[in-house]
Amino acid sequence: MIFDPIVDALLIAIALCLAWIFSLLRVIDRTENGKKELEQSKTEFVSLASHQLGTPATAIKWYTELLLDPKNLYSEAKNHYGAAIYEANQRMIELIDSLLNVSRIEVGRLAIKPGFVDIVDLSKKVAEEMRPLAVAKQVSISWHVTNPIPIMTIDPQLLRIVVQNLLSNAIKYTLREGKITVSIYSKNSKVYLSVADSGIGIPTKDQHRIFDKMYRAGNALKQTADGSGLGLYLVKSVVGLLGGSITFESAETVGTTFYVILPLKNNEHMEGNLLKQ
Amino acid sequence: MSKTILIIEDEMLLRRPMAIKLESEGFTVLEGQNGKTGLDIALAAHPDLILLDILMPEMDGIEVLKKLRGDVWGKTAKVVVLTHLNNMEKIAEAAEYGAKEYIVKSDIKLDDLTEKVKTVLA
Repeated sequence: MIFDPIVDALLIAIALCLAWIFSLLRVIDRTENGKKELEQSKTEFVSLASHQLGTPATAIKWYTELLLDPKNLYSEAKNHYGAAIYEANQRMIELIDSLLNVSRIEVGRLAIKPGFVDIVDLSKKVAEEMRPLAVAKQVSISWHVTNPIPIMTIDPQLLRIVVQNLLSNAIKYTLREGKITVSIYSKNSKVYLSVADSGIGIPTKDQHRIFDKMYRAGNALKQTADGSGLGLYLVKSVVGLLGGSITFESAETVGTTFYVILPLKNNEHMEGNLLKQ
Repeated sequence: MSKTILIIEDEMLLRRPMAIKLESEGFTVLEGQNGKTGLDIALAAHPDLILLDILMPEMDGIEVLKKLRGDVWGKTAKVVVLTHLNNMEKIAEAAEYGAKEYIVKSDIKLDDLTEKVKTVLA
């Protein structure tokens, strides 16, 4: 078929218009999806803030009322109220830290500032901070450290996020009188950290999503409504930023072990506000 | 004889202070740590009032309420729903099953809780 130049030009114009309309539709679709994602994020945040922050905040208020009540004079009871306030406050701090760090990671504003770090010392300090929670559940934490572990060049704040979240999860999902074992050794310019618990384990069907943001395994949801689903997402992101890797082994009702491998020297220094600009 | 209150709330950090306060006010308090055990206790003990959390593992508060209303005694059991700020839809759903009163946990003091309990039981 032979087209005269006018029809030819018209067909080209129509094709260009269609291409432009389709591209516009794609932009609109992306914008609509963006709006939906934004709305969903807002809803998720409100839900998280309302329940996960609301619970410890209310607990602190109510236990403080009991502490201040002149009728409650028994020191034993007051110790119990104090421990509950500590637990609630710790839960708030962890959630706020997680929210801030997730936000920093997602907008590329998490800075990496390497320093000289003794990973054993740092891990034991984190564990000490969590001791009241472990003691309350009669969960024991044992250490297997193959000495000597060289001093690492790594961002201490980011390493702390990793250790803190793994230990916190281990305590939370280990039943009363359970056991947690932290192992650390160094080989070939790498440091190997593992946190093993005798907890509820991760069901096989949930294992592929366990590092997803705000995802919680079915048995974790059944055990407690407390949990943001941010911890492991954050750990995976941070380990990646530190040049390391994370894997796990888990069996339901038996327990979970997370294995983290980190470079002994991570000299990369990044100013957070430059990451995505 | 003291009135019996059943608190069905999975968060021990919230359940215990409510129980301590209500016990100090002379009530007998029973505690259910999740929806399923809470429902079992309710049907066995027939408390005068149930304080029922909405968001819980195992069985949520709405499900507890539905099952409760299917029981001869539970049909007319007094229930006050415990909730958080953003659960207004759930409160409306609970109201359909006869939970006329609700408490936004973060909004109240333990003294307010006691007053609410006394008012509902009066």
